[in-house]
Amino acid sequence: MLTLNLILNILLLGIVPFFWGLALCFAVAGTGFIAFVLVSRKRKNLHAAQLQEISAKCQPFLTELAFEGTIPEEYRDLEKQLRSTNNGKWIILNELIKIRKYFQGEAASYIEEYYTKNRLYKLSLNKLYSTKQHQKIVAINEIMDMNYLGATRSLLQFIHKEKSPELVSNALIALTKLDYKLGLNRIIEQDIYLSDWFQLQVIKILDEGKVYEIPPLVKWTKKSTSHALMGLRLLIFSGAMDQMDELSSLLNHENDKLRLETIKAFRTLEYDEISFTLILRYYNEPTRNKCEIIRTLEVLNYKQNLAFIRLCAKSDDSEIQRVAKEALRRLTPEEIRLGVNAPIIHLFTPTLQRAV
Amino acid sequence: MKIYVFEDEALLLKSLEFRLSKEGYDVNCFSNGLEAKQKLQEELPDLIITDIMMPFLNGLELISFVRNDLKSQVPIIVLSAAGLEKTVLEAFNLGADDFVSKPFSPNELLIRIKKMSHRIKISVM
Amino acid sequence: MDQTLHYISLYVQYGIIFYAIFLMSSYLILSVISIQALYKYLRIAEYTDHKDLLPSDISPKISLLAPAYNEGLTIVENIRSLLSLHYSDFEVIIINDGSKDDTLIKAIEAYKMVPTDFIVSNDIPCKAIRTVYKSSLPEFSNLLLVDKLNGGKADALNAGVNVSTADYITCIDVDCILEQDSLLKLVKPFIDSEKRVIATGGVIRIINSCEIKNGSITQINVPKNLIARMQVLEYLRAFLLGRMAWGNLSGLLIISGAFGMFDKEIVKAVGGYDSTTVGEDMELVVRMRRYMVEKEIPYCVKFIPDPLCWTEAPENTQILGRQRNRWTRGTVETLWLHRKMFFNPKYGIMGLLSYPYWFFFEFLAPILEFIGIVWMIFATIFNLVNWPYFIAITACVYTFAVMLSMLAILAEEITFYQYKNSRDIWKLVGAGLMEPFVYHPFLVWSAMKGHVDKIKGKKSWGEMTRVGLKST
Repeated sequence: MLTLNLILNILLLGIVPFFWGLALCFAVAGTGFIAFVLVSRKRKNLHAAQLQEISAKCQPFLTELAFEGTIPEEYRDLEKQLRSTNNGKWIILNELIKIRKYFQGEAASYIEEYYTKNRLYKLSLNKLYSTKQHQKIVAINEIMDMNYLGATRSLLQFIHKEKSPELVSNALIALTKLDYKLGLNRIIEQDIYLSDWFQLQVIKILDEGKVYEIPPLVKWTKKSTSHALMGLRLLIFSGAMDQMDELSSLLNHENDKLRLETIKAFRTLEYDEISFTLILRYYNEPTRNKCEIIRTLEVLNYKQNLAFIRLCAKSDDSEIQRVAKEALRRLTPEEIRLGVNAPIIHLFTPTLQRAV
Repeated sequence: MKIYVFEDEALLLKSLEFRLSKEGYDVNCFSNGLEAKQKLQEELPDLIITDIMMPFLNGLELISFVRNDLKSQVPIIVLSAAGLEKTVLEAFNLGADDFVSKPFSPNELLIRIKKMSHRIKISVM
Repeated sequence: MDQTLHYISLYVQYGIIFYAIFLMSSYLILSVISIQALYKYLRIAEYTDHKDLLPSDISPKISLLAPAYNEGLTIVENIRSLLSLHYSDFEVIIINDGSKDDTLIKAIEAYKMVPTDFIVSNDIPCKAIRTVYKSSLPEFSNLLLVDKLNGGKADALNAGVNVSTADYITCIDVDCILEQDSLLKLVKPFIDSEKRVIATGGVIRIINSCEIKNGSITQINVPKNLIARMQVLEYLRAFLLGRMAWGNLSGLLIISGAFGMFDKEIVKAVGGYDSTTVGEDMELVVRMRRYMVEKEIPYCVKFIPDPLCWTEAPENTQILGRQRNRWTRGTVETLWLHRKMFFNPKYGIMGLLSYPYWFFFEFLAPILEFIGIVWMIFATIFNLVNWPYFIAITACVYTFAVMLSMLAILAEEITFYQYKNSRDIWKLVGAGLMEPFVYHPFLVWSAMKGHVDKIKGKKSWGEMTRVGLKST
């Protein structure tokens, strides 16, 4: 007992200086953190002030450039002076990118022309070959925003080499922006998960470019579930009605979400013939998909749909009941009597909305 | 001609102000919906350009405020992100006169403004 | 007798040393993970245009659930700021939880609400819903108001889930100020992940002494009130150095009740909020996670570090004490309900790391600290204190606590840089130096009171009095 006491006591005495040392380390670290905050803050403020000043100088002539296509005489010297330094170039590029986002048509092409003519793309390409992830993202975005076609090959190489799925996704989006056909085909080949966010951005680009020529659905479904989903969304986007067999086969896919989107697709494309198949499939689907089937049947024109929706309105599942009852409520008494849907409902489908 | 521009993106607002005043319009810019509302109560412009999504008071409310509360028929051009068809239809229902989707072509906007101002002149005559 | 006491004293001291070292190293590890994760998040977020979500058919519909109880003073303004959030397809569902004041009438009048025969699902049990109102104004066609019998916050949220027609629900405190793009940021992880995302949570920041104009923040300041100022530090530490790491380790157990988004299907599958606990926000996340593990579905819970939601912190000890008392009871209840997960490898990180962390540091820490203080008093009386040792370990713990606060200030500075005024930094540093002496003992005391109340079987929430700062 006594020896144990001794050991503990020595340990305790030895541990006191240790704790003091530790306390000193913590104190130094804490002071260091705050010193860093204050120093970096001063530099940041100085830098920000300079940046703002130069940006403010740029804005008038860049606005002129966007609206008129040329930089007026009175700004030429300033612009040249800015462009002569790397820092100035960098600021101009940043401002260009900010302003580019608001415009399309002529204004956009003026800005892109300026970017190419003044070789600002060199800045972007350098960043693409950088070792820092952050720089790579910046580069991909700049190339995409400025629609710089000269970078197509560099992007393809980049996609081939890069390991990070985030960067590859970004690069695929940029590639699609530069060359729709090449980009889409590359996406089909790429072994990568295509998130909804990714699909949304690609579709946005196709929409802006008014591109409705999409690789056939079969090519997408062969690759993976997320590819199939993307193919499906692109099909809806393009409004193509010639691949219904392939689309119908997706109703047998094992993935719940994919089937849900397939059902939605039939509604958006207003493919009436599918009604009976949907009714047959109804009982094997989870609740979310069941609701989607009801909403789709409401829109599709098939004389037995109404009776079926009425049946659904008596379901034990309150979610299904609600969707069915809402569907019935939207139908006017006249429609219910006739058992068909009036065009008024079709007004709310996305295809027609786009037409409006 | 007096134009009020309501838009929450500072850079776009600045460049619009710069360009429109160069074109000879008297431009007032607002980045916040409520500021806009106060200004409208004080004085009505000849034309309003508004974004839909603005802090605190959205563009739809603003249109409804001009048409229903101020009972004014001043022309309103909606400038908003593309693809929000539902919202745009709502804006037209509430009394917007024209719609330009972002990203937009500046020349198109200028032409639309000119067309509107032409209409104002006729109605004044 | 003397001998035994001496040994007890030694073992207690050793126990405390090991515990302290364990706790400090966990904090440090979490901080390092957090800062790395923050850096990565910001790098990608810089080039993410969340507005791309707006026009797309792919972006999901969201229901905003805002329970309101006696909010008559501010309800009209608060609804307005919810409606002006940036998102295309969303519905705002205000749930009047049997308010005793004019909350309902004010909302109905301001937004021309009319009763509808809305079909409410009854998937989750909740108190009876009297009427569902809908705004008759076309510009507010996405506004719903549910009038129900009083049943508490969890019950009100459950009613909201039943009314919701969207796939995702966002629960918010009606008096919070949300950033315009907060919904966009919160929904993005749901559509950008290969695994199923069941919930996302945002950072809560403290709004006291900030300048607010027309429902949005124009100037961010450090609170003038000392108690609120210390909470700023506490929140910075918790969110930037703590939850960010847990989010990254996929071990996040709590999403603040003030602002979080959930997959409605899973919320319904687990039976909604538990109205018998006062910590319903934490409990729901834990239950949802358990459900996913038990069903063997790959999933994740994501944390968004952007300052999205601003809330008013209590400025006096009484209300703060009640709040912490409630949080403690919530933690205890949740930990007890899900005790099965404690060091259970079946639940992965959640069972092996998150749950023990909460048990040892959130639940046990105040108790141990309290015992420590009592022991010190006892030991002083019987002259058992090894003073050099005691002073050294106190200095060590104190400097560690201060260092962690400074690290939190640094993390804020290099990421979001919200406090532009340099004097604010000094104010925070000052608060950090004082905190371990004044604020922390008070928190320990409140937590102990929470434990005592829990044992006594207290269930109440404690009224939260508002200053009503939004009416400016």
